[in-house]
Amino acid sequence: MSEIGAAQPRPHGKRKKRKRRLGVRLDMTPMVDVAFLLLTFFMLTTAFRLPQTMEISIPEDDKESNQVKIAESNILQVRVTDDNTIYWNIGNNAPQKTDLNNLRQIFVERSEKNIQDGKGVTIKEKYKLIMLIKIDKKAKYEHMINIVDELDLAMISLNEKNKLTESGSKLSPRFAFAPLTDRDLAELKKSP
Amino acid sequence: MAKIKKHRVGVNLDMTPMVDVAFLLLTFFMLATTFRPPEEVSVTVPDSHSQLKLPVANVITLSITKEKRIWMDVDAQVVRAKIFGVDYAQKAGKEITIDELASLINKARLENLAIRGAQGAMRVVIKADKDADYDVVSDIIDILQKTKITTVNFITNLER
Repeated sequence: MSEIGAAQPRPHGKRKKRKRRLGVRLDMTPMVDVAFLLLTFFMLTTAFRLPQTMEISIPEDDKESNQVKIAESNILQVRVTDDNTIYWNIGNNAPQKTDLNNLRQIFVERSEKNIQDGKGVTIKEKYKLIMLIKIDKKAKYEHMINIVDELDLAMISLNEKNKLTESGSKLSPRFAFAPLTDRDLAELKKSP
Repeated sequence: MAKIKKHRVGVNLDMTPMVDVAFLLLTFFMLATTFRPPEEVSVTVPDSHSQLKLPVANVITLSITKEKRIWMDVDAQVVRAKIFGVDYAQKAGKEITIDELASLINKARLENLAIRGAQGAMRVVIKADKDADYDVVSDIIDILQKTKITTVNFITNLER
């Protein structure tokens, strides 16, 4: 046994007397098994990305006092029928068929046109377009998220194009949901 | 005739590096883990580009399946026990009908306010299947409007 604390000067040149150590061979297999078991457990139960959400503000209950009058030319209607086709129109124009990929382009183009026609000093004041989203009760819920998403993206690209970076001057999407009524369906029949 | 026996060389593999890596990963996962919240039903949510994080506390989650069944859950166990009964404290929500929704939401909001005080304002989070029909969602929005909830969060997958 070597003493602790009794540091002896190592004799130079002379061979130290070596203690013979017994090689300890530990079987680590069970430990490794447990380690892998835990590893798989943690890998499977981990949720890396917490879910993302999309926030939508809805108006308070419909009351007469809450109603705002909007010029018809400032309304862009997006309608989704029960066979999941998307139609859009502005004001009184006949609805046109489109699909999700073109929707952003339409939002951007129409918004730009609206800004050109609008009165006011800043772009935000000029921008009056409101999207009215009407989705049939039998259509898929996915459309609602997709349309709002495209609208958000259109606003982002509009803000970038016009170099609006301050939060006060940024354009934000304005939209409302409305039920798709029989009148809307009759309107859609006019679509070319 | 005697069979010629093939001489086998004993393979002595050093497993130490592999074990090292395994432990490294184990520590990583143990430290980085946030457990997936338990779910009563599985729902495939739609994709969007929204990057808003889901709030952790004070949420009422409404899960809507493809078959238009609605499951309601709140984040606090105490509140859950109060509105659904003690049996549901450990569960991840309860299946409800659309007619119960308004009263249950109001109950949950009141209980949450009683427990958490002024910070207990509840948010409603809708986790609907992307193939669910729109009418369930629009009906729920109508009910929320009536219960004076004006902000709704929709759970989506981040699309890239």
